[in-house]
Parts: sequence; structure tokens; C-alpha cells
Amino acid sequence: MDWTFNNDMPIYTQLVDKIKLSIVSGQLPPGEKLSTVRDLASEAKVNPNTMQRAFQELEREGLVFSQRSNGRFVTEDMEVIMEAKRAMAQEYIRGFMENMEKLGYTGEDIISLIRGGKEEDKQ
Amino acid sequence: MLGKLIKHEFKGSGRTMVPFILMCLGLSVLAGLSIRGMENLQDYGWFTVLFGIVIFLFVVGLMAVCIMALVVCIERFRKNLLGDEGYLMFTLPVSVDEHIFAKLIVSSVWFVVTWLVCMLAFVLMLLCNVDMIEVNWSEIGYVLNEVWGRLVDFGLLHIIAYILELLVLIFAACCVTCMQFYSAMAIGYSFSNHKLLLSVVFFFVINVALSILQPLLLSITGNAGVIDFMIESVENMSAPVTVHMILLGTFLYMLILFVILYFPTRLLLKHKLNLP
Amino acid sequence: MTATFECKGLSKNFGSTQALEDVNISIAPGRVVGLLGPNGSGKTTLIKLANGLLTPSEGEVLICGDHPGVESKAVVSYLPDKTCMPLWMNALQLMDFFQDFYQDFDRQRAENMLQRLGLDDRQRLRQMSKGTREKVQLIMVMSRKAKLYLLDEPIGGVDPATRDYILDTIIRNYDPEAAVVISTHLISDVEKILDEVLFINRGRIMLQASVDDIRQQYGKSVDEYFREVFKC
Repeated sequence: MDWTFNNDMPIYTQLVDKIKLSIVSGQLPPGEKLSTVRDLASEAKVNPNTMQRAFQELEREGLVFSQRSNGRFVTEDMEVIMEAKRAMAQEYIRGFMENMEKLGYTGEDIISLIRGGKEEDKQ
Repeated sequence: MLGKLIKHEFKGSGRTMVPFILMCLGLSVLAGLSIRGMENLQDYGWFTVLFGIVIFLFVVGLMAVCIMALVVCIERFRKNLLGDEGYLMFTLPVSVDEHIFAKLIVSSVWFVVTWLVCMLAFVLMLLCNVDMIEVNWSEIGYVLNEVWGRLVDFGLLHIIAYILELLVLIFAACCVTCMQFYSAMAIGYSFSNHKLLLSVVFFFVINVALSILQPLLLSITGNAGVIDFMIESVENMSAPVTVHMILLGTFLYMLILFVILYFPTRLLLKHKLNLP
Repeated sequence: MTATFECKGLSKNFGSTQALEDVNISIAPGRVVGLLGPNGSGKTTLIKLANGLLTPSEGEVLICGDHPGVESKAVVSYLPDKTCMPLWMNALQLMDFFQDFYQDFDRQRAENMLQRLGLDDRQRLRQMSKGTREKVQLIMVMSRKAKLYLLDEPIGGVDPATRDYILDTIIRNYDPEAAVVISTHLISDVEKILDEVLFINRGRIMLQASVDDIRQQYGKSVDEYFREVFKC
């Protein structure tokens, strides 16, 4: 996992995003056992309390669950994972749209631009 | 915790002292053998020069051990408590009193050990030549017998007590000497600059102050009638008891000096510590 | 719950210079707190007061509810901003020393960390590089199961690799029951491992806040925010 952080956002939300990305992309498959808070904190070079907070957030969203004494696991509920994936996609699209609008493009222009890009890729 | 401090203090100071002591004892044997060689050598070749050098080194070695005991006493306090190592020492779960006493006890032990080593060195040197010394054993036996008789007459218990009291007194004197250095450094090092220079200055100031204090103490006790009382009591005592009283008096005097030096030192180390 | 480390109206002056002025802080167990301020702002003075190396001019310092003394020293693990271990000692002798004086010293932990470092036990501190000395010193300090760790400039004057090692050692030894105070002016390096920060300037505490709160509220890192607050 890439553990670089932006300066303008809380660290724990960035941790949530990074782990979420690993889960929805399948890098952390459903049912996979997660490393301990301490190990992950050490790997990411962050405060264990911050990592803990990120996990709590992920638990709240249902993406991971903890089994007493066994540790933490990625959820096996594909519905939840897909839902998270959709939400993330929506988030990326919103950001993308914002940037495009800053460049002066509007809805239809953007779509045709993307199509054009795809055509070029094929050729 | 005092025991542990003492243990580590011995480790820290023994590093310097033990090699010096061993060197001294080694040199004493070499010097003894050199003397023996000189006696046997008829022609004065360069062997004589060599032997002369060895004997000279032996004398230097003896002086070096005595000086080192003093240097170690001062440096262990200065570096270990008032230097960078002070950060480690003063954050140990140990009281300031234990720190001072550990240093005092170990330094005093080294002073006594040094003294014993010097004596042992001479004995070793003599032992190397023991066969060359003509001894009239019967005469020595006679003298020893005589001395023993006198001691028994005087009271053997008294003699043993004197030796013990004298040892305590020597130890106390060593402690007071150490405290003079410690108090001077405690004052000098509580300043931010010129710590070492100020320590030296305060060492002399303390010495002068104590020498002024001495007659002052005497006159105070004199005025209070203590001395009259003492003379009076001594007149009523037997000779052996009088000696005990003198030793006790000297000890009490040392104790007063010690207390005068100890408490300011303790206070400074506790509240005015100024680590680099 | 008693705070692990607390200052109430704490002031300290050296002669006419005021090093600390009316400091009021409280640090709970399990928190990793950065004591951040420019050079000469009073960081080291505050830490020395907590260790009982200095006596307050006014106010008080409390370690788990007690004034600094023999009891508090048994539960505080202190890393000074300079090498304080006797240079003639090697790692083995240092471990013996710590084991003798601190009941909470975990020798196994120290040995594991030294082994991970690939250090020769018998090499004297004097023969080590500055970075290695700092690491060994940190290993001794972090091998105690203390209630409060006071680390004064643990990453000052060492190369980036050593810096990473030191920060990793602090994270790995994190204990939810203990508080850690790290004083530094190298904020960007420690920011990620902190829960809270204390900004200190000219002997006064300017701010006590959580790292993520600062990032959330101001949309910038603690380092950037610090530069803004302390702009010359």
C-alpha cells in the first residue's frame, strides 16, 4: 500500500480511503485477515491511535469486522463492498467534474471528450 | 538502591583504579627484584641504570596511585553527577542522599585501599629480598612477646576498640575530605559559566572558612563550659577511657564538619542543579 | 482518571529571565503528544521540570498525581537531548545498569531491538557513531514499560534513515496505558505519529489540539500551520 499523505486532510480519513481502495480493488479480498493496528501503524509510520480510529470508521461503514481475539477481517458481504466502490467512484467523478468545469467544459462536452479519448486509445 | 549505586560506582571507578593498583603492585615486585639484582651485580653496567629506573618508576607509581584516588574521587562526582551523565543519574529512582553517600563511600574505600596498597607494595618489595635480610628471630620473638604483654596489661579489648575507632576515624576523615571537594563543585557547578574555575575558588573559600570556623567552634564550646566539663571528666577517668574520649571527640568534630558541608551540597543538588 | 502528566500554573525563571510562564497542560494515558516550539521556547525546561532536574519557581508538575521525586522517576522514561549514557559502557553494561535501577526494564525487548539493529553488544558507546549512540540510548529508554516517556529532541541531528528508525521504534513500543511526549522543532517528521500537539513559544503554551483537528479545521498540516503561527 502507498502510505504517502496529503497535508490538507486529516490523517485518519486518508487512512480510511487507502484501506477502502485496497478492499474495493480486491487487493484485500473479502474475508481476508488484516494486520494488527500496531503493525499497520508501523508500516504506515502513523500513530496507532490514528490507525485505530481509521479501523473504527471502516467498521462503522461495515467494510471490516473484528472477531474477538481473532483479529480484524475484510467483510464478506459483497453488497457492502460494491456499495463502497460505487460511492468512491461517485466521489472521483465529482472531483473530476469539478476540475473539468474549472477548465470550462460542460456536461456533454466532457462526455464526448472521454469518448474521443477512448477512440484514440483504440486506434 | 544505595547498594546498587555503590556497585555501579565501584564498576565506574574501578575501571581506572584497578589497573593503577595492579601496576603499582607489579612495579613493587620488579623494584624488589631490581634491588636484589643491584646487590648481586658487581660491575655497574647498564643493568644498574635499568634497575634504578625501575625503582624510580615504583616510587612514581606509588605517588600516581595516591593521586589517582583523589582524581577519581573528584572526577566521578564531576562527570557522573554534574556532567552529561547527570541526566541519567539524577533521573534514576534514587534520592540525592543516596547519590552523595554512594560517591562518598566508594571514594573513601578507594582512599583506604590506596593506603593499604602502598603498604602492601613495600611488603612485596621486601619479600623479594627476604632471604638477604638477616633476621634475629629470637629477638623479634622476644620483642613481640614483650609488646603482647604490655597490650594485655593495658586491656586487649581497649586495643581492639582503638583500632576499630581509628579505622572509623580514618574513614570519617576521608569522607570530610571528599565532602570538601563535593561541596565546592556543587556550588561551582550551580553557576552557568566558569563552573570549574568557580569550583576551585570555592574549594579554597570553603577551606579558609573551615579554618576560621575551627577556633570559633572551640570558643563556643569553651564558653558553653563543655571543655571544662571534659577536662573535669577526663581527670576522673582511667587512661584507656581518656583515649576513647579523645577519639570520640575527634569523631564528633568530624561529624560537625561533615554536616556543615553535607546539607548545603544536598540542597544545591536537589534544587539548584544546573546540568550542561 | 488522573492525568499522566499535568502542569498547573507552572512557571520557571532563571534569575530575571522567564523560561516558562503559567503553563497549564494535561496529558492523558495513551496519548502521543508533540511539544513543538522554536529553539529556546522552553521545551527542554518543561521536560527537565517533569524529570525533577529543575524545581518550579511557581505552580506544580504532577506525574500520575505525584510531584517529581523518587516515585515519579520510577515510572518516567527520559531521553535527554544529548548523550547521557557513560561512553565507556557497552550495550550489555547499559542493560545491566537499567535492569538494576528500573523494575520496569524489559531486557528481552532491549535485546531484540539491539539484535534487529545488528549491533555488537560489546562495542563501547565511545566507538559508535552519533546516530548509533542515539539509537542505543532510545532502545534503553523505550525498553522500559514506563507510564510516561519524555523524549527531548529524539530526532534532532540524525540522518533521515536513523530518524525513520527512531520514529518506528516509538510506534512499535506504543503502549495504550502510557503517554509519550516528544519535543522537537522538526514537525513534518513527527506529525504522523502524534495524537496531539502543544505549541510552545517564549515559555507560554499557545495551543493544545489534536493533529487531525488542526488538519480538519485549517485544511493544512500541523507543520504548515506551525509555520503560519510562528512566522517571523
